[in-house]
Amino acid sequence: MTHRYHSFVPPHVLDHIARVQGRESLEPSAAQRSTVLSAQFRRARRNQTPDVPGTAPLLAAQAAVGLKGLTVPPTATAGRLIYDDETQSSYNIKLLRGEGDPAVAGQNADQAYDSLGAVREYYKQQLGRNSIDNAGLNLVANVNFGENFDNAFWDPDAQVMVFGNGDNQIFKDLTGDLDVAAHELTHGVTQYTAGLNYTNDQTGALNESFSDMLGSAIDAFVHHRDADTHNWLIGDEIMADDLAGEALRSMSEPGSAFDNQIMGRDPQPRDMSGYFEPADPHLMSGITNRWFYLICKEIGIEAGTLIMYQTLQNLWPTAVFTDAAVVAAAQARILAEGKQVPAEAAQVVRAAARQQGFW
Amino acid sequence: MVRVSMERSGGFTGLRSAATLDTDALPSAQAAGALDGLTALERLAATTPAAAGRPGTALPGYRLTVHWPSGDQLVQLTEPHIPPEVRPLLTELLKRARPPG
Repeated sequence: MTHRYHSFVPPHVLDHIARVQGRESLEPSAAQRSTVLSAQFRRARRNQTPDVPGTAPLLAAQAAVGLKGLTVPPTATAGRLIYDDETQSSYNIKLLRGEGDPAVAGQNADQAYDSLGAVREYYKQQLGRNSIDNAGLNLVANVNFGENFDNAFWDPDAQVMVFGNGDNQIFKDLTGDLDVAAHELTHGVTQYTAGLNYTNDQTGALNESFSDMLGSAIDAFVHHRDADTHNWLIGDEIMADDLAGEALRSMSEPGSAFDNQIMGRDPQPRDMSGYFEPADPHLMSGITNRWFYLICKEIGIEAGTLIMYQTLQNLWPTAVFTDAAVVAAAQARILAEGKQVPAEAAQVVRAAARQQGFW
Repeated sequence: MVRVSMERSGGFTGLRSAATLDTDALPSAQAAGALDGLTALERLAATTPAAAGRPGTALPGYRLTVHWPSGDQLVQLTEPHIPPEVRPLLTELLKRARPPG
């Protein structure tokens, strides 16, 4: 589909307005929403994506399988749909489980179903958000994608979550850790809020980092851990048996998650003293991951996450680390006025950013 | 002989890895599939941008460089938009992938 959209107001002007208004209230302003929508349309114009080979249109696929007694939730009810890709590199091959359907034989399908449910409930109960788009977007997960596929991802065009089975050399079944679904679905939330560009600079790193922040917070919440008892590791439960004890990223000590012959050594810098660009967003995300960790250690994960969620809603597509710190401190002040976070939260946010070298 | 290099990144893991293979070093069954892949990559390399899928997103991605005698050709691919003809070549490269030096 081609979007014929041309913005009258230049993008840099919209960014400036968003930068000012992101500090003023909890709710994103019209200008901020415009910056996100403009960026989305610009990206869509640049990226005319072909259909995924072999993938049936979702509605047609749902109609076809609905006859088999599985539950297809109505559109925009935040209902879950779990598909089996049968090791093909296409989506939505065979519906396994719909919202409210009983557990199935495939363990990974049930794990995906449960993880999507946990993420949905966290966003709704803790943050007041109705699914990824805050309008009840149904949550579609694909399991058994590809052959020994060693990854998982959120597809921003198809609006589906995709899990591989792992190659059992580095990773095993990627539905096995709540971090994965929480991280990837948060990419969807970012798509509908700040719309941070996925570039090899601070903006891309922020995009990755917000997914790690919310992913880790949801993992801690579900497992009843606080900032002291949470392990602050990402992906530790999907490591292959030979790599047990390793993880993908450490939020408390970036750069210490792994060191072995198969994966190499964790390249994340701990703070801005190790910053360079261009760099893959997964590299520099450790700097703001640790910012979040330091905040949570002072005021708790619940308050830290609320501040970051409000920050995500009030940032814009070209925001950098300092912008995040400024908006987060402003949001912390607003939340503190409403007694939703401790009174000293803004100072904690700034001090942690200073410690990490970007304020 | 044609040499092909790959760099992988993106997705949840974000793990970067790289691999190189020479088509002559492949067993005949795999070599035929690899040659089909090279033909498909050459077609893609002639497009602007030389890409399939959505480079510049969080999708798992692959930067493939074909070192032709006449010069290098770079093509960027992201999941799931991998041309079917390229998949066998990509599979061989992924088997050889190691952390970047």
